[in-house]
Amino acid sequence: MKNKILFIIFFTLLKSHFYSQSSDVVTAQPTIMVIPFAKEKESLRSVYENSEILRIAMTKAKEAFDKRGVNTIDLIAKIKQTNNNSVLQEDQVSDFKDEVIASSGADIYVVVEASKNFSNSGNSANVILTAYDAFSGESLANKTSNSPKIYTDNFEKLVEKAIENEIDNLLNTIQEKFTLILENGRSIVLTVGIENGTSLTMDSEINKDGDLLSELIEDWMEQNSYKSQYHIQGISKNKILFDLVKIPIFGEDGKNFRIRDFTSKFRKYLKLLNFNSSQTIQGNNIVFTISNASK
Amino acid sequence: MKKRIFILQIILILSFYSCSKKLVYYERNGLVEFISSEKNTITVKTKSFAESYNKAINFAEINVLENILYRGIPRSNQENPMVNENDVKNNKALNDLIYNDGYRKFLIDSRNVNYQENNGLFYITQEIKFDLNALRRYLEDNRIVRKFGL
Repeated sequence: MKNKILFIIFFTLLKSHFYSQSSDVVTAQPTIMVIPFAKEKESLRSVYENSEILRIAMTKAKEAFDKRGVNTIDLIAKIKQTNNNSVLQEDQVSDFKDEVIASSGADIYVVVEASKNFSNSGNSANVILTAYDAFSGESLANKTSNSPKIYTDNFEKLVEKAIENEIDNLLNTIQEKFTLILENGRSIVLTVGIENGTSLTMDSEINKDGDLLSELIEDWMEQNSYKSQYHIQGISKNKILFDLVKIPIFGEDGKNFRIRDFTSKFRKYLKLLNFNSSQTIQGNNIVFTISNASK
Repeated sequence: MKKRIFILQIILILSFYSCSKKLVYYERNGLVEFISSEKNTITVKTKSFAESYNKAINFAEINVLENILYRGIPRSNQENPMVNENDVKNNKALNDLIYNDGYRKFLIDSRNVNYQENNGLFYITQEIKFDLNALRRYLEDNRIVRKFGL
């Protein structure tokens, strides 16, 4: 009887222990970088330095993110670092934004645009906030906000008010998008092409069952895309383009699922089919080039 | 004698019934109006009624909180709902927050703007201010919502 009681107590404790472990929620904290809106061929630094209202808006936005406990990356520090690394040359100014974002390591970048409005019934400030996924370039959230009209020239306060009105909504919308991404996976674009000068085509029969190369690739995609979500934009003789393939955020082991995990699996599958392949990954865009069966 | 006692009993029952107040049960309503927002706070006006003044205030506070949590307040700094209602049914921490006075820790101000007594019921208009940041942290700490991120 005593043993039974001890067993029940032990089992209950064990169960509660596992429950408490399984309820742990892993949250990967993304990093955000706030950047000014820059027109084509305008460098971020010059835009930042030439507009006081924009600097105020960016600082207020950054402050609001910090308060929410979100890790932010300082744009100016990153630009200085980029310049120190001599990554940028004068003739590359048009790519400045992309360069800074790519080298920043930020998961999300928020573009801030601010303007002053003068009127007889009072002055106001207008702020536009747009958040993008740095990985895919997809827009995550957009908010516009106006401060109330007040008879003042203190645009710092007006901008602060405009940012305050919408920053929480911006973060909430981003979080809603994150929840959707967690549920449905992250989107990548995959192009599988045949190397020039090979006799292989997408219509080549690959195995004794007479399966075509394009069919085998599609079957693999169905089995390995997250929740079997993929979409083929088109198949030609030497190319198959998946304009949408979903991959999970976390792997089965709970660790981050990287694009490399996906491409590595696909490469090994092609190897199983006795093909060589090379790959190029840029953001969420992957290009596989298949060459003839290795001998 | 027995007849007299019986009549007396009926009179007592009837008088008790007529004197007893109608019980009003809480029901969420959309009568919420955004008043203002400051850093991490929101002030909302709402209407409510109950058989007592204090109960009506309690209903108003719960109504504002439920609207913030489950619906969001239009044209405010909390337009989106904080919680997906379908995901959190029978969550103890959330029930404690809403129905066991847990929300008082995050209630910055609750002031009566107007009240009327009619037929034993108190109709009130209440202006209520919540600390959104602290409220969100409570939801995150109790795993009712995810922390910001993936």
